[in-house]
Amino acid sequence: MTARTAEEEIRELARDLAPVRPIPRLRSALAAAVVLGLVALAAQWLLGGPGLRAGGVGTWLTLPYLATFAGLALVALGAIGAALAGAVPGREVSSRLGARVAAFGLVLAVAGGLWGIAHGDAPAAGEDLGACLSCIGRAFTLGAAPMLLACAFIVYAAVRRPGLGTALAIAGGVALGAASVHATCPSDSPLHWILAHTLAPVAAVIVLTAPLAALLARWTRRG
Amino acid sequence: MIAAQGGDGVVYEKLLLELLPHVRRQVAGRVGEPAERDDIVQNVLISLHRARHTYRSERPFGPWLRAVVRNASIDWMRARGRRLRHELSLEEVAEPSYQAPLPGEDALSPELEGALASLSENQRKAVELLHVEGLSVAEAAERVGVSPGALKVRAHRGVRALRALVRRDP
Repeated sequence: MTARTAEEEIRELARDLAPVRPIPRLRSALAAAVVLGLVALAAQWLLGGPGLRAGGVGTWLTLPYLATFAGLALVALGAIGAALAGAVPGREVSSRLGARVAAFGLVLAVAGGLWGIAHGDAPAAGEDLGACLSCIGRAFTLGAAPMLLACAFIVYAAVRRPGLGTALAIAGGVALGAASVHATCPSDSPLHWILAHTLAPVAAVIVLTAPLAALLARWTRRG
Repeated sequence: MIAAQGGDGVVYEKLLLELLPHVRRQVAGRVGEPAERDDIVQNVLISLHRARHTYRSERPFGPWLRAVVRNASIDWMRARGRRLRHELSLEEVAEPSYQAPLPGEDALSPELEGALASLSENQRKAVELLHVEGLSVAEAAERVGVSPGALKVRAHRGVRALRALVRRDP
C-alpha cells in the first residue's frame, strides 16, 4: 500500500531536519500566564481602574468571599495548566489533574456564593445588570493576555484537540481575570459574585470557544 | 533527541532507526491488520518529527515517545474510520447494477483485462469476485477472509483505479 518503506521515510525526515526550539517548561508557561494577569490588573489600576477592595481586612476575611476568590484562583491555575499540559505528549495525567482542580474550583466558588446568600451575611440583591456586565467585561479584558498566551503555547506545542484546549485556555484566562475583578470589586452581594465573577469564565467558554478553536485549528494545520 | 532538536540529521536518523523496532512493536499491539501497520508506522514517524520540539530533556523519554505513538495511531485509525464511512456511503449511493455474464459470453474486453491485471492483488480479487463472478458482498468477503466492509472498500478503490486507467488509455 505504502509507496516507500519506513527506513526511507526516516532518511527523508533526517535529510530535511531543521533545528527547533524546545517548548518552555509547563511551570514557566503557567507562571508567565499568571504574571501577565497581574500585569494587566496593575495596568488597569494605573490607567484609573479600581484598586484593591476597600473596607479593611474584615471584608476580605469572610468565608463566602474567600471561597469565591480561592475557587476562581483554582479554576484559573487548573484550567490553564490543563490546557498547557494537554498540548504536550506524555503529560495527559497533569492535564486531567488540572481539569479536576478547575472543576473543584468552580464548585468551590459557586458554593461560596451560595453559602453567602443562604446565611445572609451580605445583601443578596441590589445588583443591576449593568454592574454585572461591567464586571464580566473587565474579567474578559484582564484575562485576555493569559488566555492568548496559553493559546499560543498550545498552537506551538502539539495540541490534538484544539476545541478542548481552547476551552480550557479561555476558562483559565478569564477565571484569572475574574479573580482580579473579585479582588477589586466593591460589591458585597454574593449573588453578584456568582453571576458576574464566577460565571464569567463559563460565559467566556460559551461565547469564545468556537471561533477561537477554529482559528487555532487553522494555525495548527499551517504549522 | 536533544542533538536532533539542534538540527543534527545524522544523529536523528540513527535515533529514529533505533526507535523503529519499538514503534513497530507498539503499533502491532494496537493494530490487528498487518497491511495497515506500515502506514501507521510512517504516520507515527511523521508525528514524532512534528512533535520533536515538545520533548524536554529533564523529562523521561519513554512516556513522551509512547504518547506520541499512541496519539498518532489513534489519529490514524480515526481518520481511516472517517474515510471508510465516507467511501461506504458513496458505495451505497452508487450501488452498481451489475449482471454477471452468461456462460460463453465474453466477460471482459482485453483492455479491461489488462487494467485489472495492473491492480493490487487485494483490489483485483475484490473486483473479480463482486463484478466478474457476481458473488454477493457477504460471499466474496467470506471467500477472501475479510469483513464485508473491508471488501467493499477494496472493490470501490479497485473500480475507481480501473476507471482512471481506462480513461487514461482510451
